[in-house]
Amino acid sequence: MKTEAFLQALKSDTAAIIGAVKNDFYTLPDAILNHKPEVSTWSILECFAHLNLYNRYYLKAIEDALFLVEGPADQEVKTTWIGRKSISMMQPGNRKKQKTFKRMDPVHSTKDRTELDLFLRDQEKLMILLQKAERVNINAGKVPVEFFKMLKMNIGEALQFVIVHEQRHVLQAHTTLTGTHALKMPVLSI
Amino acid sequence: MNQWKEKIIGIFNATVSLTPGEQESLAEGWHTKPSLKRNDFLIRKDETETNLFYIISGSLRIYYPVNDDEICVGFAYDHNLICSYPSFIRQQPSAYYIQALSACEIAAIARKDFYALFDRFPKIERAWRMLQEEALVGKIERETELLTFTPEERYNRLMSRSPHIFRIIPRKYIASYLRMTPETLSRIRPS
Repeated sequence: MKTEAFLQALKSDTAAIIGAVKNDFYTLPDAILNHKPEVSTWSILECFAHLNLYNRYYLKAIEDALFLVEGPADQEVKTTWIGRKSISMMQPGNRKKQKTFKRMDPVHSTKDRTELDLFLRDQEKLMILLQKAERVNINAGKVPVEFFKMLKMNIGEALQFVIVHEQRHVLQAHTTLTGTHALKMPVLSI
Repeated sequence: MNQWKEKIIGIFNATVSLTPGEQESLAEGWHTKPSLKRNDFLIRKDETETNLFYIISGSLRIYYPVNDDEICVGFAYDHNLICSYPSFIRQQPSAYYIQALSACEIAAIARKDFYALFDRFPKIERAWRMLQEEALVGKIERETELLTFTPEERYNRLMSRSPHIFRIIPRKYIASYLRMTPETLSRIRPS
């Protein structure tokens, strides 16, 4: 795949995430946003607080990396071992539970509705980064992996990582929402 | 056993614990029906309800026709049971329509087969009783809400009970269900 098509796909993924947040979560009352199905599972707001912690690091790291690279744009997509590994671990299709690093645990976040505002603002930033990326060689650039900065993904991989990780937790937030209603609505409709 | 049959058993098993034999007898009674397209009817006014339906996928509305209007009285979607209940219970012509809002995959059990299970398996009857109790409580709460609350409060109650409904059901039907105009709903909840 060429990097231009790759970036186009990431843009439409991001647009879908923005749509889901605006349509499905933003309008919910606080009680639903804060509902924890079990003590150990995250509320909808905790899912977004967790993503906000990641975005705070990665959006800045990607921006810095973009600053240092140049063309040519639209090449064949190249991947690295650590990039492939990180992305496949986070794919929403990969149902294996991953352990959350303590510093990425939303337990200490504010967890009010401003988490959703912050998340949406970060998506705008992400869209701008995706646009900037169209003009450079995204196979280049080095974005240090958050938990082990010696390891580095290229810019394309870092962008994809951020987005599949968002998809993963937006899916989780949807599952939490569905579970919340299943407890309350009668199964028999008359 | 089919996945959807297991889900139906899951509905009954949620409140009572059925033996493997009871589960099998319950599963035997259910059969798939021809798929519905959007706007197709599961039952029309004046037909008599002889089935209880399970929705494998899709969404439907129950409505009462009045003059030129249609008043939405209920919805059902994936993993719900549904029937035109007064007609199902009294075996008289239905006053309601049940219409598909999207393509639907449906399963059904004939009323006579379902009732025959009650004689053999009191636990299935007990589970059915509890499902009806929950539906009744829902109807009582809704009646009170309609009589007591402002449109805004009615909207908020629906949101806290089933927030996902806005993803599944077109807004005009939700407005009808909440007894407000689509304009009022748009004012309370801009799209």
